Amino acid sequence: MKSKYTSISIAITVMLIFSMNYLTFLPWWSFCILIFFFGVYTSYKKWFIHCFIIGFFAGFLTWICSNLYYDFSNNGLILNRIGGLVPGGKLILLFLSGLTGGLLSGLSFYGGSKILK
Amino acid sequence: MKKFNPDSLFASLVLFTLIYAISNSIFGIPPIGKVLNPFIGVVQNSSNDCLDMNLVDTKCNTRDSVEILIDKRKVPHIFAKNTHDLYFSQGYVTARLRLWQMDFFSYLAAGRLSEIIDNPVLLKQDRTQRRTGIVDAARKTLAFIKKDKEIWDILSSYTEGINAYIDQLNYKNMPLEYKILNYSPERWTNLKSVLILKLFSSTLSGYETDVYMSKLMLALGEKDFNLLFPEYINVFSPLIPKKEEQIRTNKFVHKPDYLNYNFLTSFNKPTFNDYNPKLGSNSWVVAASLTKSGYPILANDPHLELSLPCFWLEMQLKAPDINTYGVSIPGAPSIIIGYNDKISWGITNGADDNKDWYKLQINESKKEYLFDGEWKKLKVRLDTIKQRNGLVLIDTIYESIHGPIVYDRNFTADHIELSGYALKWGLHEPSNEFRSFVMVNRALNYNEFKSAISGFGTPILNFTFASDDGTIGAIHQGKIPKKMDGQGRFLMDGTISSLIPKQFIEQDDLPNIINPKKGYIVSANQHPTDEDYKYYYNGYYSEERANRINEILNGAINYSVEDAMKMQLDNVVFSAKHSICALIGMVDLEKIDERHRFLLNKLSNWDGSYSSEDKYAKLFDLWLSKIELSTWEEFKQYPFFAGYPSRGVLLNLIQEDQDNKFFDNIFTNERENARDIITISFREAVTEYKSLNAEGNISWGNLNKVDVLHMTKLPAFSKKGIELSGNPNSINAMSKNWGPSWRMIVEMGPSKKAYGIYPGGQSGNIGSKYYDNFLDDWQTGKFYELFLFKSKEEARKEATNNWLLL
Repeated sequence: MKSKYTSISIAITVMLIFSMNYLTFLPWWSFCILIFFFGVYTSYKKWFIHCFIIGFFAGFLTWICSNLYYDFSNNGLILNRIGGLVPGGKLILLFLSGLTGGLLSGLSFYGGSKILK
Repeated sequence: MKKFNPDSLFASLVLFTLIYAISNSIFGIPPIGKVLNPFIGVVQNSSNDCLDMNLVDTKCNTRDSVEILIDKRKVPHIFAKNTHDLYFSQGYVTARLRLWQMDFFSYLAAGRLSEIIDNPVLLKQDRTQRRTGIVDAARKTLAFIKKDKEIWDILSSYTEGINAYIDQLNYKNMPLEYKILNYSPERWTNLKSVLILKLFSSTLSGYETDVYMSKLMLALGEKDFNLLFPEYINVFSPLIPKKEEQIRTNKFVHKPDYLNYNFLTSFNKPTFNDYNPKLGSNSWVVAASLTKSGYPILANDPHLELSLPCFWLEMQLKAPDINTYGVSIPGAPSIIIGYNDKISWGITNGADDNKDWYKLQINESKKEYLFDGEWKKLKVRLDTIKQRNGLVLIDTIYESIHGPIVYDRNFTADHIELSGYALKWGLHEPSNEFRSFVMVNRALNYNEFKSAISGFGTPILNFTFASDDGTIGAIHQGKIPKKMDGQGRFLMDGTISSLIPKQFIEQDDLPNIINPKKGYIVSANQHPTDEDYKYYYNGYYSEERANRINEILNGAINYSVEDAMKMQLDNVVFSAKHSICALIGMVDLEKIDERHRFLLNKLSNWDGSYSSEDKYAKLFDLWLSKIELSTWEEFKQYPFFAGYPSRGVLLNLIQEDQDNKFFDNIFTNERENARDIITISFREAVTEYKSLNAEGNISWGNLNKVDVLHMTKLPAFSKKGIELSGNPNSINAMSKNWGPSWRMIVEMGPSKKAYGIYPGGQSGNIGSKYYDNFLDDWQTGKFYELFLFKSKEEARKEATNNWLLL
């Protein structure tokens, strides 16, 4: 049963992060709140999953893949040029973005899931 | 029922801290939470390139619908039904393509860079910028333009258009530089447009050498000063030909009576000017009688700092009483260089000295200055400079009747020698240059053109002209003060009113020419007139390019657009070509060995061309600079040394007075003459040339590498090390970071043939493929065909995209 909840929560977290694509009028960090409440819900429902890892994984993947998608759909020009600003270039940039997205959603999910005991 | 778990607060606290930290810029690192965010961050700046899209913008409040057709090269062709909508759309389109660039220009011009970037160097630059009075001048100019309702409305429509775009921006779609530097676009104002024109003016007229010339006059004495720093050199081709009767001669400059060692401050440090005297342009017009087509041909290539985005933006403006094509300056309405249905025009820098320093005698209270025997009160102005870090700097600026005191004991900024001097600069005067450009865009013949530019005050420019009816002409246009002989070359005495020019040269007396007998007009920052001109004037003229253009055009028949293209890419340096034989003839063959003779022989076949594949241009360059170094070695003795006499003077001296004392090296016991200097210099040049050769490729292109830098100078956004032909003194005026910023050739006639190219691309967006797509073609010397469409229908056939403003 646990693995079922794991994949469901990954899917939902990814969707919540992705909803920011349409909710651009909200502050950029609003998805953290959505995930936070989803975390509260999972603990209420006693799903017993590894919230931080799931959140981190979903955030990491979504941010990297979305960045890659927008970059590729335009010949990779933008991240090549921005990549020139940081040592390590485009790869480091993508990794940094993944790390940021991962930490944010991991911490939100974890924080939400621990709020009730 | 579950209960609240206080321990969980720790995780939330970490989360909030993290969000806060990456929402803000820390230690100069952009806010990564936003910048790397895939949904609003930098990656979004590449998606949906507006130049590849069809748009309908209903939020524009234009009076009528406006259609903007984007052609294959992504040049917008604006078709409006009234004047308001035309300039509104120009503002809108310019903002869409170049918002950050024009906004940044306005910050630069207003001395506000410290508001966006925390850097002590920029703070100093901001203070200098404000203290030179540019911002004040812009405000006065704005008030002056406000009285001209027609132009004020045009300027306001342009501003409205920019703001219509700015109002639609949010974090996701704002230009990338704002995200990286972490600030937001502010609303545009008419003042910002005026500031940009003042910035253009200051770039072109900022150079002067008053301190250095004053010190040299005292150190060298009148005779040597006039020999080494003459107003005119022997070989030159003025814009307007010599007059029959000689009214006056401007040959000899006397030392002003007040100029002595008591007058000059004794700070003995080099006095460098922050502006580039070489920024100039070429333009020539060939009359119908000399062209293959039977219609005049006009060519123009302004040389400016090469930057990304480019200084220029190409477009067509069409409304009922106007149809024009050319390049505009982002931030300023109208087309600056271009053509319309009937006429074409070009501009080159007038290169006149219109910036002078007056030494004031200030009393001990520091509040009054002596003027014509009376103590007058200094005007005091407080200026507030906001900084990025939240600090505010309040600067006190004093002003005399002449202008602002730029440097004083509180602010010397490396120009201590000018401390306590008041600056009088042509651009301080309010004038309405927008009117000139707007009217030039509409002008249909020479008279309309002439009256359009008659109010043009600053910077002093040469306007060249050609029309379908066969008229060609040029005017050295601007508000040029009437000066006494030698006035303005040196520092001035600020205690007497007679040294302030009170009158300006009348419009009809400005150097101008129409349909000359020889059939062509050349303007390339050379002297506008011969010595016999009615009034004294001085400046920082370059004769080399004008001489070369004249040389090619002299005797031209069946002149065509292709000939003009070839000329714009011509790499020959006139003085090099014409002095090489004389120099080689003066080498003492007994004092050089076999390998020297071999290279000397090679050089004798060299045609003075600095093309990228040429292998001997560098040798000549080295040789001439060694000759320069050993001829003027006494100059290095001066602690205030800031530059040698011009190469024209040097080559002239070599040919006319080989035993001149300046050829003698003061560090040796023997007495050298020009022949000795030339021979020794050749040996030294060969040694250096050989070692360069041993390191690798000696071709000129390999050594002449050009950088086209993004305006932030960030290498990641720039193109560096482009191998190029050309030399600052050849028609193809190329240097490390400045060069031909727009090449345009127009063949007049009912069906015009026009060509042009600039180093850059139409989009200012780093993530767009149109950011720098012209650069490679510009490098290889290609030209694009330009299209001035007569109607929307004609434009639609060539358009790839269509924008509609409602």
